[in-house]
Amino acid sequence: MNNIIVCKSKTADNPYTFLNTRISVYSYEELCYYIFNNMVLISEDDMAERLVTWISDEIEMPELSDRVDVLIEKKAFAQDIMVEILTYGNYYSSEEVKNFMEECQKLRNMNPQEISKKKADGYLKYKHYIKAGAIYDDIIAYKESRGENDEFLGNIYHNKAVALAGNLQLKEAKDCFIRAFSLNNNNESLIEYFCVLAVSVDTATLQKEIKKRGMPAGFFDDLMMELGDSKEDVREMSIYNKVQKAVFNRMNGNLEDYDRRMDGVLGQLKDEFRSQIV
Amino acid sequence: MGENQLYLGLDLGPEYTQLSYYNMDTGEPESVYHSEAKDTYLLPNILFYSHTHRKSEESGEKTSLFDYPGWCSGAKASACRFEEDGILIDRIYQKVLMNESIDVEGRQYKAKELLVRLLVLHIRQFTRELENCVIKKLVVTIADTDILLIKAVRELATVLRLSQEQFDIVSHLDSGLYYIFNQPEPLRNNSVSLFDFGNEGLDYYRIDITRNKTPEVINVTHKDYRDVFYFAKFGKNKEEMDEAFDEIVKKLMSETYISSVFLTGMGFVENWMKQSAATLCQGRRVFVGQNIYTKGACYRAVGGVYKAPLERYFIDTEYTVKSHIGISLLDGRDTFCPIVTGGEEWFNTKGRLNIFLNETNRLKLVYKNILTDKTRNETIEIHGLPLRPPKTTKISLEVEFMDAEKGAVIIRDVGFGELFPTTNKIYRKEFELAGAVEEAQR
Repeated sequence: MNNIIVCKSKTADNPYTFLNTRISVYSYEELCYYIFNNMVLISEDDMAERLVTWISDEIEMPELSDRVDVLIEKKAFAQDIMVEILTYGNYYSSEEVKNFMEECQKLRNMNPQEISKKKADGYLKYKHYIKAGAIYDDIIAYKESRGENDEFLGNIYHNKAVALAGNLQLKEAKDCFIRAFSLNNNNESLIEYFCVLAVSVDTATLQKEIKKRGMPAGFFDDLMMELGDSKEDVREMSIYNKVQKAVFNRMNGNLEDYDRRMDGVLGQLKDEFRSQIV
Repeated sequence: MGENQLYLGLDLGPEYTQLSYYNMDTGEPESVYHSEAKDTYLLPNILFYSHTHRKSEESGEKTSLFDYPGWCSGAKASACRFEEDGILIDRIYQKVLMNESIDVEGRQYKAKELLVRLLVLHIRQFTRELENCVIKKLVVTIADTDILLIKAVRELATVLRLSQEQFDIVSHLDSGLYYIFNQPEPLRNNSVSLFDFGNEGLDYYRIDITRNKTPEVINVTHKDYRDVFYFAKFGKNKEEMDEAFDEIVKKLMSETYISSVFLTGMGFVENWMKQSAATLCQGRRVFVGQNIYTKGACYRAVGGVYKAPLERYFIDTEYTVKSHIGISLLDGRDTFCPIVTGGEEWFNTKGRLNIFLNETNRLKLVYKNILTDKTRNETIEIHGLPLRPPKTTKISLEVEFMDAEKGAVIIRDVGFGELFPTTNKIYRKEFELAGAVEEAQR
C-alpha cells in the first residue's frame, strides 16, 4: 500500500454536482472517492453527457472524457462507467477497484429492501434526513405489512431514529430507538435512546428510566460524560458561536444585533433543511 | 507593419540603472542612452514629479499603461529639477531595502511602488523612440539579492503585463557569467577572474570550470574585499590605491592559472591602475567594462545560442540551490518525488507538490545534493489534522528560501473539496542544506 499518493490532477473552477445528494466534487480524486463510497446513490443521470463535458473542460482529462463518452454512446451500465473512471488514474489500486466491482455484484444480488436501506444510509451520511426517513418509512411499511419483525427491521428503525434526531424530532427519535432495540436487541440502540432522552427530560426522569430499564451501575455517569464530550463538540461549531454572540448582545441590550444574528442562524438552518428536500 | 520584438537586459544598481537591448542587425546587446544624456549609459535612479500635473492626477483622469503624467526619471528628472517646479525623489532603491514609504506632495507611496515606476519610465523613455515595439523578454539583474528588493522588482512584470516566461530576475553573478561565456572560448581555457569595484568596495569572483566530469561544473568563489579596499580609504591617493590593488592581485593570480580578467564597477572608470595593470596583464587578457551585467542579462533574455555555452554546466555560486528537495513516497522503493529542483538561484527556485496521505501522518523529507549525490532524510509528523478516511487528507508542499542554504517547507491542509473541507492549518519545517552536506560527508 502506498502511504503517499501524488496528486496530478487539476482542481476544477466549477464543480460536478451529483443529483441525488447535491454533493459537488472538484477534482478527479474527489470524483473517484464519491463513486467508490456511494455507488448505490449514483444514478444513470449522473453518468451522462454533462460528466463527459466536466471531465474534459474542467479537469482537463480528454482521454478519460473520450472513454466515458464511448461507454455512454454504447448505453453501458452505470457500473461500467464508474469502473472506467476508477481504473483510469492511480487513486485506487487495482485491488481496491476489484473490491468495488465485487461490492457492485453483491448489490445486484440484494433484495430491494436491502438496496433501499443502503440508499437511505447514504442519504443519512450526507444529512439528507428527510429523503433517508422517507425510504426508511417505505421499508418499515413493507416489512410490517408482512409481519417481518426481525433484526433488519430493528436496524431500519435505528437509522430512522438517527434521521429524526438530526432534524430535532426528538420524541419521534426516542420512540424509534426503543422500537429498534426491541427488534435488534442491540445495546447501541438503547444507548442512543438514552442520549436523546437525556437532552429532552429532566435528570430525575432520566434516572428513573435508567433504573426501569435495568441499566448497569455507573451508566448514568458514563452517559453524562458522553454528553459532556458532545457539548464540547457543539461548542466548536460555528453556528453555536453565532448563537452565543447573539445572546451576549441581547443581554447587553443590543436587540437589533440579536435579531440580525438570529435571523442569520435561522436562515442557515432553513437552507440546510430545504437542501434535504431538493 | 510587423512588431519590433525587444529583448532587454536591465541592471538595477543602488544609484544607477543600465538598460541594454538586443540589436537584431549586429547580433549583439547594445547599451541604451537617453536623449538627455547621450554621453553615458548610466541612468540615474531618480524621479521627478512636476507640480504642474498634480491637478490632473487629483482629478482622477485615467492614464494609459506606462503613462505617469507629471513623472519623469533619470537624466530627464535631473534636468527638470532646474526647469520646473516640482520635487526630486532619490534613494528609492535604499528605501525599498528598508521597506519605507516616501511622501510626495502629501501622498504616501511605498518605495517599492516608486521603484517600479522608475524602471517603467526608464524603459518607456527608450521604447517611446521605437515604432511598434513589444517586449519579448526582460531580464533584470540585481546586485543585492534582498528579498524585499526581489519582491518589488517582480511587480515590474505585472505592470508591464509580462508573463512568467517573459520575465526573469537574476543576480549580477548570473548575468556576469552569461557575458563571460559569450566571449571567445580561449578566454576560458583556464579560470577567469572578475573584479567588481563599486561604491561599497571591491568584490572578487574566481570562475573555475571543471570539465570531463559528471556533471561539468562552473564553480564561482567569492572573496569580499570591501573592508580593506574601498574609495574612502584612499581618497585622492591613487598611487596608494594602485599599490594596494597590486598586492591583492598578486596574491589572487598566484592561486591558480587565470586566462582572462574582467574589471567592472565605477572604481575602474578612472585611469589609476599602473602597477596592478602590469601584474594583471602578465599572460592574461584583461577587459574593462561598466555594462557587462546589463549585456549579460540581455544575452540571457535572448537565450538560444547565448544560453548554449552554459547549458552543459552546473553553475555553482553562492546563490545556487545545490540540492533537490522532495519527499519519499514511502512505497517500499523509497521513490523520490521532488517539490523543487535545485540548480537555480534561490530566489528563482520554486515548486509545489500536492499529495494525499493514506493512513499515515508522516512525511519523509529528502534533500539530495546534486554535486555529491548524497542524500539526507528527515521524517516529520503532522499533528492536529482531523481524522479523515484514507486518501482524503490532501496537503500541499511548497519550499521557500531565505538564501541558498536556508529555507522552509510549508505544508498546508488543502482539504478534500466539500467532502472534507480544509482546516486552513499551515505547518512550517525549516531546514539548512549546508548541514545536509556535512551530515552526508560524515
